[in-house]
Amino acid sequence: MSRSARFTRRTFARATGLSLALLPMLEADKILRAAPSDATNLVTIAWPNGVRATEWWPDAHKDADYLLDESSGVTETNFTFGNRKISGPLEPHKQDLLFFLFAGLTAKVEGGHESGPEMFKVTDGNTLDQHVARNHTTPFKTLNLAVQKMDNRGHIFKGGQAVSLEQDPYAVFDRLFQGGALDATVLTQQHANRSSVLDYVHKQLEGYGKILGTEDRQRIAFHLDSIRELEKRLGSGTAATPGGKPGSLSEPRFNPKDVSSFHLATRAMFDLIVVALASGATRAATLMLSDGDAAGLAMPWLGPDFALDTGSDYLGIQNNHHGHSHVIDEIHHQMQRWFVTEFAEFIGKLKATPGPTGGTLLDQSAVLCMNNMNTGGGHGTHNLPTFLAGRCGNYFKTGRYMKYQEWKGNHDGIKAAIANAMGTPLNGWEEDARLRG
Amino acid sequence: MRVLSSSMRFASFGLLLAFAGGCTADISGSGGPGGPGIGPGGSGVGPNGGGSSGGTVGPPIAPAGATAGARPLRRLTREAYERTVQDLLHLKQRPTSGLPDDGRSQATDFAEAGSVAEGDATALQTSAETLAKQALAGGLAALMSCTPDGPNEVSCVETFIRSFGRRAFRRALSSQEVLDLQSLFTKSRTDGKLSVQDSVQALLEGMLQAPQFLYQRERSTPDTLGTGGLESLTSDELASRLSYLLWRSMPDEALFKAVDAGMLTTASDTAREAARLLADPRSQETLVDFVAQWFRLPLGNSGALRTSASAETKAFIASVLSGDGRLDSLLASPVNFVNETLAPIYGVDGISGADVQKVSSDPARRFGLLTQVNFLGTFADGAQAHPVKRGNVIFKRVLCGELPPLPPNVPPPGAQQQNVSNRKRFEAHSQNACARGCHAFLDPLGFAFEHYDGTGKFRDMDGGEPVDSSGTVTLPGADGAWTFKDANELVDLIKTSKEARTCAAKQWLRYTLTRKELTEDQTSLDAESTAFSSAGYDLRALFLSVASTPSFLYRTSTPPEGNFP
Repeated sequence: MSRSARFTRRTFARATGLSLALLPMLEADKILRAAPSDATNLVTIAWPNGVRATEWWPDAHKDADYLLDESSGVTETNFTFGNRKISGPLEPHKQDLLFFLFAGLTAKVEGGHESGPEMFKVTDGNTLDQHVARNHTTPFKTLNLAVQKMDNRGHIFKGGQAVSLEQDPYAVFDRLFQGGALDATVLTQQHANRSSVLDYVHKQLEGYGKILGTEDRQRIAFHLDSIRELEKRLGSGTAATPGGKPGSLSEPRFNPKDVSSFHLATRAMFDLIVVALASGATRAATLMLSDGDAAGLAMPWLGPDFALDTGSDYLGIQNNHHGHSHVIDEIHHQMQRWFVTEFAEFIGKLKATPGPTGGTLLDQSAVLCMNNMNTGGGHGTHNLPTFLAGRCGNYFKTGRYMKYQEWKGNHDGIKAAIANAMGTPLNGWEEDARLRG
Repeated sequence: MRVLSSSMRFASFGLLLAFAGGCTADISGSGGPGGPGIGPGGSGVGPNGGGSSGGTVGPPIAPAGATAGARPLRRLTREAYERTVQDLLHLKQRPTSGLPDDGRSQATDFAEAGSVAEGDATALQTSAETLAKQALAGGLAALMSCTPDGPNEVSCVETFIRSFGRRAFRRALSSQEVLDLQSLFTKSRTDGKLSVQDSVQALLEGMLQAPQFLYQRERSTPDTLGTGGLESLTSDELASRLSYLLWRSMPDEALFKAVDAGMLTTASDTAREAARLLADPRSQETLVDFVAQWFRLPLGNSGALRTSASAETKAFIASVLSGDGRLDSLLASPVNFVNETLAPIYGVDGISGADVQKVSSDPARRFGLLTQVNFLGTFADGAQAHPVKRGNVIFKRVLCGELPPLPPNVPPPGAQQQNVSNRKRFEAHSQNACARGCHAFLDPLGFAFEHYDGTGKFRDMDGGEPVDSSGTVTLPGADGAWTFKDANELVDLIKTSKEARTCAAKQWLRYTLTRKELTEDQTSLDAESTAFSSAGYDLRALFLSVASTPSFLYRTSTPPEGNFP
């Protein structure tokens, strides 16, 4: 969609001096209501520990890594994941995807496990979600979620500050939709009380920040920003949950920090993102599943071969994802396939859910999904398994398999395109225009 | 618990005081007892930057030649938050706040509370609301010394604001701070039409979310901000440094009294109070936590094995600290704490029940933290040992080694194979040219522990071959190489090495200052090391010594730039 098509009833009214109410609904206005910058969503997803090339890329025939010189700069529309063990579950959605080869990071990171926040970073010390959401007026600017604790690798950046990710899906749901459960009078009273307390806290933070050194000030300014968000929401009421609470959050509760609940927590987080976008509670969400190393990850729900030994023998985890990624064995393929199945499920839900302004949620969204390393063996950050789902308000031409000529920095062109699609260009960043077809 | 108290006899006070004498600071402006509302230290400037009615106190001058680094602003960790609210609100049990987990500092690897994002702010709000309600469940008398009814309402609330605020903010409130809280109370009473109790509850909610409560702030004033000069901490700030370092909570009544009496100004004052705090059982919990974090040993309670391994770690550290307290005992004491879960791993018979019991171990196989299940099993890959992870912890955490930057794309060790020992598999990995720089340090240290598999069991054979746990390593900057045949010999070398001893002092300073050491901290590090060595490397002397160092008593003011907010 061309930027110059920005033309609304409001600008028309201003230009003509006519009252807004007198003007008929213009066709351009109808289109622009669903225009990218007004109604698009971003979801960024990170998952860990790489792939095997021949089980991921549609045309890979060489093991372990993918050689650059074989397929430079080609874009394919006629591709299939066929029976590739890891990417296979994406087959039903391939018309909604831009699937990449040789997407890699510009930034130098120590190794794959550390690439978590780096993959999403853009300018001004922000990750892409924080950048595109900076002017959003949704009740929640962003949802920052993780399934597994990742110490220093599990966060996003906002104004140079690391923002920790939330791990408890029940708490996130309560935060998003709590209002729906309360009586209106109680809610009004609660808002009034909170408003005076937050007012007080706000003032104290302002005073506090003035007498601190630069770095400390930034911390307090950041804290104050969060308080402002809380204040802003007091007046706006809370969004209703479309379709009620997701089944994945039903009672009895699972323990989201228990590794054997990883699949339940993953499903719950994806469902939370769907309801948050559908209700308009937020338009930007990040889900970092795991760094694949620090906390240990196993998938006992996949069957006896994947058993997590909770007996007395292991402090570490038997059958752990990281161990299998190093050897890229069949267990690893199946574990990665499980992740991809969850992505496909999520994409399917976005497709089946109407967006707040018409069309499906997937039509209005850009879902950027990246692995934190190339292959589990190499831990490299070149050629990261990456795909983009959704047309983001017709900005992207999907259904294509795009191969780059060299790996370095391609993520930047993709992120810049998403920023443009959402009406928040990144200064000095050039989008990869080919993504628009 | 008693033993820590007795250890204080052991710690050489003469030495500490001798050191302190040379550093007695002129902080006359900040130590005096304050009248109501105008407390000692820091009261000259409220959080809003204005001078208080009590007159501005100039920055105390640090002695010539003293150096200390800046102190970064830190928010209370979840642990400290929960302990603080328990003490502040006189709760019988420590509350579960529901705050998110703390992260680890990238610089020091110790637990650290991050920036307050929206989710954190919501959690803090919910927690403040729950706690305030809980604290007032039995009525106002639980927290208020007067009854705020009728004509007494305003004055009683003001008294409460000043006295409770003093404890919540850990210093006397400025007049502006008092006004702000009074206005919050009035707003709740008049605009919100709340009862007195509900309005006091709003005050509590406000204070529990206020930065003065949530952060450990040390004073900068508009006068001193950015001068880069050295300032003495106020008595209140010293009280908080002491209580948060040793108890992870707010100062107790005795500390507040010492502040009010002008008895917390000099190095000998802080040494005296540190000794008192160290004699309290609460410090034992903190020090166990410190040692566990120092060795990167997780203390968790998910599953029988993790719970048991953590219980052993805690019991073992506590027994060393209440025994001879020595670094070499921590590293080499042939004692285990075993329950029915750990017994088969250690090959001990006749143990039942979930509680760990002290057992003497074969000194050739089990000697201290590095040969216990928590270390061996945490730094493993499933059932197999992971020498690089083990070596990494020893190198970085126990010897304070710094690795050269990691080259990009280091290939991983190959797949585990039948009839190949773990050591050979990892050796093949380390032959890789780009990996050699780091692995020259990490691998030998880790290979020494090849007699212990990933579960912590002792083994003589691996992959059909006899275990080879021998090695040689030359640490960066070391005089010579260490050569050893197994972990026992390596630990013998480590436990008396200058690297490990200096590292202990560094780690304690990092934990104390919540940052990495700077050149300005060298005097303090040296003082710590001297106290440590004079005490025969008794860790308790080290813990005590930091309280009278310049890095503890002073701070450099940090330069501001730009505008706020």
